[in-house]
Amino acid sequence: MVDTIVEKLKTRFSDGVKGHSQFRDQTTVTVDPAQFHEVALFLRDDEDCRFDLLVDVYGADRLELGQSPRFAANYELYSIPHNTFLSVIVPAVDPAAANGQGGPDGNLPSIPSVTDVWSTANWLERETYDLMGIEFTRHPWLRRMMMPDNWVGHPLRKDYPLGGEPVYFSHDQANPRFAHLGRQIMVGPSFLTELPAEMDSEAHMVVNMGPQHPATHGVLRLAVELDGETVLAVSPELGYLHSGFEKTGENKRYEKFIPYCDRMDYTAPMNNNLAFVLAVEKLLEVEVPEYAQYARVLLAELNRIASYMVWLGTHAMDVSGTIHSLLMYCFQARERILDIFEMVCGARMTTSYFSVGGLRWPLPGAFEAAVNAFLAEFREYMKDYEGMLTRNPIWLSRLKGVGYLSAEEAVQLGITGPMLRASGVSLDLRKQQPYSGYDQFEFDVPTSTDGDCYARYELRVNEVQQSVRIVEQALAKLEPGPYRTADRKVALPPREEISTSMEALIHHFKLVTEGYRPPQGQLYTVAENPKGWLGFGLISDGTATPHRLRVRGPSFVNLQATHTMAKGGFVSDLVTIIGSIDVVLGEVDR
Amino acid sequence: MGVAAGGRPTPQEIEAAQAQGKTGSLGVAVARLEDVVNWGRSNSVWPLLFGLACCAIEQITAGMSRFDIARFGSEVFRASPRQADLIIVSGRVSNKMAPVIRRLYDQMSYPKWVIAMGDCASCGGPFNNYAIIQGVDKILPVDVYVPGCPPRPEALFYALTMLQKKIKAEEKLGVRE
Amino acid sequence: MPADYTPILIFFLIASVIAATTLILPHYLGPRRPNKAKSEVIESGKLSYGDARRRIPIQYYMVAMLFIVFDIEVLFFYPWAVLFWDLKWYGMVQIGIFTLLLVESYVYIRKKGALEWE
Repeated sequence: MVDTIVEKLKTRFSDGVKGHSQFRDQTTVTVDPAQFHEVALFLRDDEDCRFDLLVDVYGADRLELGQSPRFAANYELYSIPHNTFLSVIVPAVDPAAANGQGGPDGNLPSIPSVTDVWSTANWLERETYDLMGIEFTRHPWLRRMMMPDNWVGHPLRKDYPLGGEPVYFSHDQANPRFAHLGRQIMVGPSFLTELPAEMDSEAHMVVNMGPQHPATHGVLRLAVELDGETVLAVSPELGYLHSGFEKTGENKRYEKFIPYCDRMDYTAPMNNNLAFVLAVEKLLEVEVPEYAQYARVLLAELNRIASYMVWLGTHAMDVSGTIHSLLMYCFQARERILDIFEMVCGARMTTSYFSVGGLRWPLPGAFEAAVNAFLAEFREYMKDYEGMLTRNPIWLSRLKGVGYLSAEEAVQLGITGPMLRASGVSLDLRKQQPYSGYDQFEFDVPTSTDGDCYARYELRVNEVQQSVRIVEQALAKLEPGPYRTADRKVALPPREEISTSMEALIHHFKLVTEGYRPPQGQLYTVAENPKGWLGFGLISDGTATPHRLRVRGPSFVNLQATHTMAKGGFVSDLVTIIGSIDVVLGEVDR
Repeated sequence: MGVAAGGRPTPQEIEAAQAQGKTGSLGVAVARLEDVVNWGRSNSVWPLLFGLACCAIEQITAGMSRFDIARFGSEVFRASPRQADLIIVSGRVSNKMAPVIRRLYDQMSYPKWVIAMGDCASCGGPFNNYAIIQGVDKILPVDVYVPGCPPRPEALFYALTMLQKKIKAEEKLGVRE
Repeated sequence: MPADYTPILIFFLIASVIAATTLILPHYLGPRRPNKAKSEVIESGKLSYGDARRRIPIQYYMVAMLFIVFDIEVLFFYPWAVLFWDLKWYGMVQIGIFTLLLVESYVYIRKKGALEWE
């Protein structure tokens, strides 16, 4: 299927397509930047291609790979009708070749923007400009997104240092080297951040629903233009939790990045672990034993339930004001799940339980009984929660008809996950391109066509029921077996073997001190997280650390729809909409 | 009763007196104004509704029915800094967020305290890079540090009780700089 | 008759004492450390875009006015409710006419759309 597309592209744009390659069943096409805009339109509109979902845009600095030109942007596309992925690499036009015309910073490599082809590209290109320094010409509003507005430099470039402080291993207060610890350094003064041109702070009132706000679920800032109670425009401003995950990933070995994955979407750490571990396993071509696969599915679905409990509780709290009762109930159910996680791996939230090749430890003996006990309790809980909300007249009047998003708009904006399914597009990656044994499980994918907040609520509640079904099936499928792959070049040998076998000791030593070296290549994997599609892009240069590690946070792309959904409504509807998008700022800002 | 020469009992003496089962250092009928005020302040420390990252989820969990921060006096989390006593910095502080936190802290009215919850707020945590400030004590004067990634809600309660002991030992209705 | 008002007087005195104490005592007990950020607007930690001197939409005024009017109406129900049994049918008819007049004005307001926000 993809080969015909590549052939069509080559015949249609003979000089535009510079080359194509295949790695781990993924096709990558390199396109000349001058023709990229036409290629993008062709890819979106042509009958055989129909790549209507732009999954990701990220930049790569290929200084150390020796490829020229130095900067390139990678576009990941997905076709919903044909269920195919395609990667497109567009090398950036060198500023010297463009006669020194560069963007706001001057002298930046440039690529034409595709915001008019896919609206998703708006924020993704802004992020690439901010972190990699590639200018996208004809972008509607190319400004910094993650870093403060007055930041100098582009952090993800290879010549930009990682930063940070040296870590001292002993501490002596008398030593003048430690004189600065605990002392307050001066923080720069706050400055007024720029508003988009459509928002007028003179004619109407522009209010900050700022980083510290009860209803924004974290450090998100919304600049809201108000006419009385009516919202005229919403402009989210991100970056308040930007933690440099991608740059950290470039400096750590693959196995060592796994704990960082928990900290991104911190309500669903197991799902994040799973997505990253799948990406690395695909890169290394490692087979995971069935026991580990089913255990992963079980824990990922349990975590989906836990994540939806956080969503339901905080959403109900936002909509109702200060009433915390449903929040308390939902967190009570979540506590049962966190107890199971603590039994399995010792940590309640940041679990890091999956490792490349399988699980970190085998599941404990009391696991099955605990999960059964939880499921029995949980069915009662869900009956209560649904009884409280589903036909509640206040809930209905606050949520029905609010925040409507049509299917075309949703696909144009790159929305994935429950939001897309509530708008009528039945797209669930666990069914379309199953991973980790999901094809062995029987479950439905609820879809709705209403596209408003109530549809999203109902859909997520139905998904909880489906997750319970999957957990039951996985529990039945768990048969004792190896919990980790036998490939000693990738996964650590069991501890008992180290004291008896010389090879095991050597493997352990090599893996811990050096790590494995994946082959050179580039791939992109996506997993269906509770919030949407979590994507991991890995560019490996053959060393133990990735050359480029890209994380596509689903909430980041879903948040773009805020303006479309909220404009024309009231401020109280805006709060409902933010709750129904289900954002977690850790994966928005990374 | 072991009151020091200056007239104010030291925290160790307060602890010793409490360990011996005495309710207050000077009894109930004759209580100093500072003791009464400190007792009032320490038993109703209302935090600011301020959560940054993963530690914020554990902070919310600490307020839920299983762990219940309200039994320590922190009945409500106030959204407005003017009405809050305590800012629990729960999560990683990025460069963009630092002026915001400082401004919120400045807008809080006295008396106010700071708990740095989690490794990221104490020292930068696992994020030793360009984006994260290595410890919130670079911008705010911190009273109690809570290690953990994330710390369990019980650890947050231990920090809160430590803070309450610190407040009870304040003298002259003390105010930090 | 005046003796019946003694509890009200005591109530009023206690309320005044409490109000005065809570206003005056923090003035002397609380620390005073003004700084620039405290006297500025709280906008979730960021600076605000200008002041709040904009044209206030008329809908706020309509809703507030109508609320006051109907709230005062409810106030008139209280004395009748206290003496409801003693006033018997005569009082019932009177309060019925009062309510009918106000319901009619409410219907007019609803039909005119004064409570719609747009």
